[in-house]
Amino acid sequence: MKKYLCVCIVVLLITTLAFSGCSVEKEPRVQDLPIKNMGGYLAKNPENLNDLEEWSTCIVKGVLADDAVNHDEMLNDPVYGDSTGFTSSTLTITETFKGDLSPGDQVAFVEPYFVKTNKKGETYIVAYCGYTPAIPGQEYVFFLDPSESPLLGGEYYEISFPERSRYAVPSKNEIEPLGLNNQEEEGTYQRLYKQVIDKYVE
Amino acid sequence: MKMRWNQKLLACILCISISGCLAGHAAAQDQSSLKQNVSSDEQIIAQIDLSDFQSEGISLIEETVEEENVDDLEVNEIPEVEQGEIIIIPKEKNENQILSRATGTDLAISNMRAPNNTEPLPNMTDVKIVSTIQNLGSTTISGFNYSVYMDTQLLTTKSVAVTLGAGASANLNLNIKNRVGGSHTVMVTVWLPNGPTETNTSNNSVSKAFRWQDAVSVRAYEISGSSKIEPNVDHAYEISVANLGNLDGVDIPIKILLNGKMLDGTARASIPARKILNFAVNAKFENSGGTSLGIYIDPQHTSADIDPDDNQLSKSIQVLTPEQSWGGTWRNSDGISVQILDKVKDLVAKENFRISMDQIVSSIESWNGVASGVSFGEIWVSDTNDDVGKDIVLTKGSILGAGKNVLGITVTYDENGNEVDQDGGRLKDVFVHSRITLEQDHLLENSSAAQAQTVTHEFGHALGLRHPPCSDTAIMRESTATAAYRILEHDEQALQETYK
Repeated sequence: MKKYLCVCIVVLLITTLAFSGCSVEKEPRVQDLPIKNMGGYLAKNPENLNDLEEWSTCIVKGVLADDAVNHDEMLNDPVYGDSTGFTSSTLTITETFKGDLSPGDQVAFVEPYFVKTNKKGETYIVAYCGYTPAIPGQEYVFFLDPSESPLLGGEYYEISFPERSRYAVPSKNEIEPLGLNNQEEEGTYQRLYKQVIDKYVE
Repeated sequence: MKMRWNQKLLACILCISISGCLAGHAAAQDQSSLKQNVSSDEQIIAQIDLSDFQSEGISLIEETVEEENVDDLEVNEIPEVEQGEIIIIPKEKNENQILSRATGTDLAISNMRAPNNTEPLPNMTDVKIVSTIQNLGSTTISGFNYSVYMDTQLLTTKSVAVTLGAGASANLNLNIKNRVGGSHTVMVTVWLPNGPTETNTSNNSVSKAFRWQDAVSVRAYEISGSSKIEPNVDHAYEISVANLGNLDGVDIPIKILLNGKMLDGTARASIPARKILNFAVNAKFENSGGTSLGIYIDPQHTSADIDPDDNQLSKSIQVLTPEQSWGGTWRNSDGISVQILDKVKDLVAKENFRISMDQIVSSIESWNGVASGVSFGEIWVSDTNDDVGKDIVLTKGSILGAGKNVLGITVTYDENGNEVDQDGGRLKDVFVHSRITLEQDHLLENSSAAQAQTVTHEFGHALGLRHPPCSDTAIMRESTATAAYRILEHDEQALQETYK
């Protein structure tokens, strides 16, 4: 009987360990989270590649590291004032077409979104002006501008236009572009995407 | 499940609005005076009359009619040119006797004529135009290239393989089908492919003016406007009809097509020779789904139009669902309270901030009266930076990462404090709070009009409006470069639909 009890305890322990291992929650990937878009307003928005090129300080190819730091909204901050939420990560430049950046440079890159978990435990992305987060490890053609903020301790880079400044470099088997979430931008984005890939991706 | 044509027709309400008339040309012009082509010394003005649609219960809201020269556009009335036979002329029948033959190589073309027709030549039928090709040199030619032009416009370029001995001649036969009438100069140039240098190139082209019968030649030229639209809102479409002919087209019937079916009313258009008539149509679709808007010029072939094959044109349109078109709404939408935080005064005080606090308040209040049941009530310019619980808070701040062109953003919250997706197709979302941020640095680089426009635009978002998916002019378009400076009809109708 004692022996039977020991076997049962061992089986129970193994089962518990096995199931507890399964229940470990992985950090959700940014591309798997639902996006809530907050409407904004721009001074201008490029309708063609010439405008996009002219109105951007840097044109580069680069890859985002998987080191994103989430910044919630800062409201009534006594030092920095109000700031909308944002995400910062490291961008490694792989090729450069315009601007001072060089291949191999690693720069701070700020995106206009942040990840939020509400009271119900639901996690989602709050994005501004139709932006869709870049995926770590994916190579993109970026149209960037340098900026500065005391929040980040100095210079960082940001996309020039929220919906029209980031184009995924397709793999050989991938011909469909990674679209953006904002329906009214699909036409312009898809048109620009083809032009950008034709020009900047061999 | 596909809907049948008649179901779709019933499902859609089309409001056509065309108004207008040009200076000095009343819409009530006597139609009987337009039945005939006018004489050349009587100038007609492009016009369109949709009075017939009024009797069909279609509302006419606006008219914009303008005339454009055909030559100003890339319009292609290019006549069709086909190469006929190349016929070697036997020596005994050669009327172009060569008296002096050049030493070397010399290709020549001459004597253009239309042997089977007398002028005026008929339109819309092949007219045989013949030119004589001669080998004036002392060597044999095995082929040549030629180009055909009409009024300096290149129609075609081709190569011909033919053996022409020294002194031999051939006829180059071209069949030209003209569809515009009038007098035109046809020119043919010839040259040797990759061959030896000719001793004389001045004889390598020939031209002649021919007169075709005068004609009216109307065409459904273009329908431009949004292909993705919201329901129940007027959308502007510009329709262009052209008269490529050299005679004025008067009182030409035009039918409006919905899903390929003709509506009952008939528009009447007068289009001067070689002119394009542009007019605006406002169309409103009630039901979501795929549809099309089209025109059919002279469907019964009652006018003098010589080319009816190009008289019909349609544009495919996707009518979005209300959920795809509008954002959420406020729980208590009449008298929405606004707190302007104290820090906004700092922004207003900056040298390059060009509008006053009163103008900010005025921009917010410009939404009042647009739609019933939705309005701003108290707008409190506060002395505190604490959010005291008003419905909407206006603040200034940095919008990090969105680029230097972002001027403002609006975040709306539901009763659980969750942000509401403005593109998520959730018409049922109810707002209980909103926070609007004016970009404290970027706004300063813009004009006073753009600064006021930004305030109005962001408060439009706060009410639930989205950037329009269509191309119609509105203050809710996504940038100052494309948006109106004040609330327009599209914004008004959008807000009315949102709070319907």
